Amino acid sequence: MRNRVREQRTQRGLSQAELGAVLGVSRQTVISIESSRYLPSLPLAFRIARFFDVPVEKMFDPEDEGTGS
Amino acid sequence: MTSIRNRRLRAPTMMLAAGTVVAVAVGIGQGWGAATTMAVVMIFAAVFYYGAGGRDSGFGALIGGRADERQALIRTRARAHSRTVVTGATEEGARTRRLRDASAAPSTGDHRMTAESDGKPTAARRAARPGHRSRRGSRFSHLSSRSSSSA
Repeated sequence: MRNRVREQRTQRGLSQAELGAVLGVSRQTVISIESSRYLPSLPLAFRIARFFDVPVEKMFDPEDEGTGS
Repeated sequence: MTSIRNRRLRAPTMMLAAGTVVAVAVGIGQGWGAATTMAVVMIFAAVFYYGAGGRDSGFGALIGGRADERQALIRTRARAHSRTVVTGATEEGARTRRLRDASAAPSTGDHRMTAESDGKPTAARRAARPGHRSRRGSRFSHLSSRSSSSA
């Protein structure tokens, strides 16, 4: 599943550590989400979408099925 | 029960507590020299855990008690995997023990009957033969004579 977390983060000029601090997760988890190695839980996905003010279905694209846990 | 507020101290404290119990058990069972060695190892491990708990890594987050959902998932999987390994090892050890005990046990169940190494019959086997009479008499003949004399 592809996502636009990296794209949105770089648009706002945030580092991975800063985004992780805002979302309450570690920097490594932000890296894993951006690289689609980890699929966030539903609450975390909504937190990400609300933080960037983007609908969750736009932030996480289910059309592109990839690897993730 | 009191709780440890500093999450980074939880793992080292638990390790020291468990290490104390194990060291006392080793001291009682194998001597206090081995227990001292174990205690020193556990103290070094606790110091290492405290240091690792402050690092900016997945392991540090797990040890330091600040794991997020992904790290908690990794911890859950690791625990499940370690339980599977420990259960398998325990079953294999029990099976090996049973096989070893079964191969070591005598076939007749009587050690005296299987103690022949030179092909000659043992004293027990000679005594079991019908009509055998020992020169010294029965092993318990003195008891029977004593009881008959007292009666």
